[in-house]
Amino acid sequence: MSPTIGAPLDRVDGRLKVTGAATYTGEFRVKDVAHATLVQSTIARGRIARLDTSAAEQAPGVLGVITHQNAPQIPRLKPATSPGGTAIQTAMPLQGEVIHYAGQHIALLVAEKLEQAALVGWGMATASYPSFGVPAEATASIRAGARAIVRSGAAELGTGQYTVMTQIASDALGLEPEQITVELGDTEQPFSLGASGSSSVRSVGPAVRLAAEAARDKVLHLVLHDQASPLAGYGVEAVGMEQGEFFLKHAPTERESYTAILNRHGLEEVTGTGKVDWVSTPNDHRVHAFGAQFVEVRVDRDLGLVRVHRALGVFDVGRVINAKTARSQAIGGIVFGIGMALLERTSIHPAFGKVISPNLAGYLLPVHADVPPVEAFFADVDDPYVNSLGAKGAGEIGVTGVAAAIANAVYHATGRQIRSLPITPEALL
Amino acid sequence: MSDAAAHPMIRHMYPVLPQALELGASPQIRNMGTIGGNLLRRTRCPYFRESSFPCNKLSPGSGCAALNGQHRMHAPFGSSDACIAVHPSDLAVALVALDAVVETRGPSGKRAIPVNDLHVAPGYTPDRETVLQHGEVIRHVFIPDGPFAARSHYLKVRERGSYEFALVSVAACLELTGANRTVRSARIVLGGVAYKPWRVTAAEDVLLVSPLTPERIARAGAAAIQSAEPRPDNAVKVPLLQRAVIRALTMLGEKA
Repeated sequence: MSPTIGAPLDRVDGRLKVTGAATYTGEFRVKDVAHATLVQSTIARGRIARLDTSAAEQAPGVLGVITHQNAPQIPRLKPATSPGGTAIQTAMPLQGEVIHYAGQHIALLVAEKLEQAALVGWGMATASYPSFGVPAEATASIRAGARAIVRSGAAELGTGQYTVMTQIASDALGLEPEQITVELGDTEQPFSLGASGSSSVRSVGPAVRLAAEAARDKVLHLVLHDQASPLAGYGVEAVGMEQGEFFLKHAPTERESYTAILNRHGLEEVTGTGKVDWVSTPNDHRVHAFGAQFVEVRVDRDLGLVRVHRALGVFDVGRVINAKTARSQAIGGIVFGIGMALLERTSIHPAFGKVISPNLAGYLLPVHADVPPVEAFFADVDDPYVNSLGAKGAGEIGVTGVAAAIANAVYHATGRQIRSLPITPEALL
Repeated sequence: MSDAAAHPMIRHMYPVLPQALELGASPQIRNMGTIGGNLLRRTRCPYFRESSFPCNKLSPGSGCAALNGQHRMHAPFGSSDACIAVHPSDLAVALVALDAVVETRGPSGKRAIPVNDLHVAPGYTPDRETVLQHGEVIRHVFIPDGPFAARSHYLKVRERGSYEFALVSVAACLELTGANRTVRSARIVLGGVAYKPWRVTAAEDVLLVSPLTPERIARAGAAAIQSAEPRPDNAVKVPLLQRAVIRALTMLGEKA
């Protein structure tokens, strides 16, 4: 045996390895090769009900998508028989719709170049936005004919305030939403601040509720003291309210409607007022809305362009007054967050001190092409420290944290931590 | 613009053209916009649009607010100390790549003007934007059936996904022959970077009469930006152009 055997030889590939020049298996050039990226199951057990590969198949450079629906069938392995079972995988991937474990390969995206299938990043961020209790006043008038009018100087600027105030009044008055008219936005109406600081539901909401309850209780007082009423002489606690009618809880057929009592007393309407003041929370509590934002981005490595591919937010705004408008509000907030992260910038001319693009032609907001599928969910839990509604306001929590989540996703995709907004090709090239 | 973009013959013979048209405006604007009008559209320079800023194009001699203001969208090619605005049309970039010619009619009769010669350099008179005389209108656009037109592509780079002008763009055409895919003719025209579509013959020459290889494409990308004169805020356009040229040529090479 030659002396080479047993000699303390340095690693022959040592220099290549420590200088980064070594070639690894994945780096060998292969002729006529296509590239693939694997799509994995995000659940541990289940069944693939439907796979939509159409968008991926239409992307430039994509050769095809292989799933269990079009993959060649492989003979199923027989489990080796050994005492205590076997650790060999017998269910091969892409052979059926059953999911056996998290991370199971469920699709193979084949593209001309690896880049076309890559530079995907995931990011998340937490969100916290203070809930302000500001002064607000409202009136509620119950009218004969089982109608009610609610008034407040609060402003509806597209967020859905007419709708939620209708719901709050409906709940307190025992009337259907279509029996209630809400009038907002006129300074002749009871004092309220503008729609800002996510404070309308938090502040105007309780004022409307107090006004509606006051009007209802005034009418109830008439009922309980009207000898012509079947409810006369009973206490407040014995009476319930539904569909515009008071009724005796122990004898629900004994009823008195708003219309009947108002008519008997010759009243056109009975009005209650509600007022809330600046709300100071106890020193040991801070009232905030909370959330968590998740996004997936695709980054064009060559051109430094970021596109958000999907987004999801989960929020705690206390009790949700309207599941539809709250969700729309949150989705709108996430769209604004996309603009904040990637498009919006206010530039001031250094010599003239004027905003350079004081219009929506030059100041870019996201358009449909920038907005991916967005999902929004709410914890919908009562917050006992906030107000009589348990509702904190949903105006601004939707946008909070989106830009941070996108920046984190860009970091995940590119390894670059961008610390200023918007995130532009300048930062990523 | 919609009609031209949808025309089967145009889509078949000049792919770059419907691509530029469709990336150039929203469907509503395409339905109303005309080809000649798009060629003559005016700059999106914010200082030109917001008339309280000085602008030599709007008010000759008043100065240029872009020179010492933010000018990220402005021209790294062909600008002057009087004006650094860019021409915003995507269509014009594609038409220059196709050697298109406009036929005009005016008080002194008919004449033919290559689209490449339609716009004039700003110099000291940026208020004068084209060679057209008063009363002269574009009647027709002629596009030759060039050997490179069928293998053509328009690449538009912009941060907003749609409804936005190009940060930079590239119209590229290649005529490839033989088994080794030799480049017989080429057109590389840059958009969003000058007062007109900016043809870079230096980059075309790099490719000529050689097989199309990644190395050649990379050299063409470098040649495309050779004479760029970026300013502080628009420096990003230079590497973006280089990368966009490389991507457009690579995509053309991969086309069957």
